[in-house]
Amino acid sequence: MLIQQLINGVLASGIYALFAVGFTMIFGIMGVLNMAHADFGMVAAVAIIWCVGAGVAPLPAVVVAAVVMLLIALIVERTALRPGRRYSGDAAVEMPLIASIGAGMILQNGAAVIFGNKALVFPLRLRGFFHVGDYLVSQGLALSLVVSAVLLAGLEVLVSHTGFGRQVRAVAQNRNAAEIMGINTERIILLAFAISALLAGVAGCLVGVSYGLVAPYMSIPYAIKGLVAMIVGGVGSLPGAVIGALLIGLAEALTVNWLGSQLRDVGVFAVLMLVLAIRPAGIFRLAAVR
Amino acid sequence: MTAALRIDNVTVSYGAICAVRDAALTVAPGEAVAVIGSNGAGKSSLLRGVMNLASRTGRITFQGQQLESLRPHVIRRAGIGYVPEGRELFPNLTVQEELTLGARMIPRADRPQMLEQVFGLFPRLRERAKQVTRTLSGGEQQMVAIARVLMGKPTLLLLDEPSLGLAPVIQDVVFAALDQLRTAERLSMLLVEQNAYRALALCSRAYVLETGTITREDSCETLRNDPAIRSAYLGH
Ligand SMILES: Nc1ncnc2c1ncn2[C@@H]1O[C@H](COP(=O)(O)OP(=O)(O)OP(=O)(O)O)[C@@H](O)[C@H]1O
Ligand SMILES: [Mg+2]
Repeated sequence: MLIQQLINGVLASGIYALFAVGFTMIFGIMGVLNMAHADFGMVAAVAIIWCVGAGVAPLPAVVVAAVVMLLIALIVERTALRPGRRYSGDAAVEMPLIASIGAGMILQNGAAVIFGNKALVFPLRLRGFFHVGDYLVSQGLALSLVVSAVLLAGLEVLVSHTGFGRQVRAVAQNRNAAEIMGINTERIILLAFAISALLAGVAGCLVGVSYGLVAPYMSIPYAIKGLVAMIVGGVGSLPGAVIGALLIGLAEALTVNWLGSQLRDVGVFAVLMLVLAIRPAGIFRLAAVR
Repeated sequence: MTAALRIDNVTVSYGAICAVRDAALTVAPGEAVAVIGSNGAGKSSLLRGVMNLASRTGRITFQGQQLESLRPHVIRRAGIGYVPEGRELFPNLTVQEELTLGARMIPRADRPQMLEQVFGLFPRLRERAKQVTRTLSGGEQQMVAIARVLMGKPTLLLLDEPSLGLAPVIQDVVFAALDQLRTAERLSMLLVEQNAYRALALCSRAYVLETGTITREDSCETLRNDPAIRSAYLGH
């Protein structure tokens, strides 16, 4: 039973890592928390449901969902986050934080109005299991883990080993200096934001693939886990976010195993407090983006 | 001949605070011009105004092109290399990465040769190429700040107190490099300095900035021998 729960914990962490990496990347580059980040995942998932419901084939549905989600992400960036960048007085950090909480609520309530405040069946489900020895492995979660690993490895290569990544790191470390070095910092920020939104979109769809259901308010627990994973791993660090997500997946599984599923979040926050008590800056102090 | 840089009626302000008032100056192609002034005179604000990093009014033209409405990265790409006060490096990038970033606007084929040229100017940076800039000494950081700008082959250099916080021997290295760029490369320069001795030695013409207003313009030679300038800025 314990080992089965550990397997489940590792499998679940792929989706958490996708969310966590987006949070940490945006914070690393823009210096703000985008609280609407996980809602982009919900938007992508319900957009697919809507398309497939309207008779669109799965593959074009994914493309349409990606475009819709990117447009919405762009609007959120322009309205909630960008004003904070052009202003450097008091509360320059809090302003976009609160604004993005508002944006997230608008997306959640909007989805609830359009689709009803209920769980929706995700059309591209993968709900079977395969056996590994005595243990069961969810096909959906196994796929999620593989997709997450591939995307995160790709992101790491992009950020650490390409010219674009060098520009991203420069903007994260000193935005004004990047600008006077001839880097179009607004463009870099927008591209990085789009990449993080796409990762959230994939994560939201993987929730649907793995668990079969998505809902307008589904993003809240994922946002909390993504944020905790980011802090546990060390804010701004991409590998840190992945390790943080893994720890949280395991902590959640162990709490469910020992204390029951109602207390699952207790384990998540126990990890957060324990890590912060030992290493206040998180596990990875040397951030990858910054 | 079109001036490399021409500033007319430029006023730079921070909200209600006016840091530079109605300034006018020119830099001819290949000319090195100094702006000297004491703490808070508005020297940095003047350069920030040129780069559109502070709000300003007036006319700023670079090789005949008007800069007023352009964003800083576009101004850089037009050919103005800016070495800001306090160096403004990327703390976790290596020297190599800083230089690579600086070379983005020149053709790929020209970059290795440019790198050699910059290492020739600052041999110390070759030894430090793999080191992240936050672990460099102040003098080495200043060299990176100048070198990374040179990598982009600017036609005009704006330098904000390159001598700040450096030991005299390191100042010698930095100013020898600037002198070489002026004579060998015919690079136009606008040098802003509190260290009037260094500035007047490097440049041919200078402006005196006092509490936001340009009060004097003359050849460096004349200013060096002027008793008023000597007592105010040269300390003897
Ligand atoms: N961001 C800012 N906000 C408000 N006032 C500013 C700002 N930056 C500079 N000032 C003011 O503008 C004036 C000119 O400052 P500036 O930095 O241009 O002087 P400086 O000649 O470069 O001085 P220093 O030799 O000390 O570098 C000063 O009175 C300063 O207090
Ligand atoms: Mg200054």
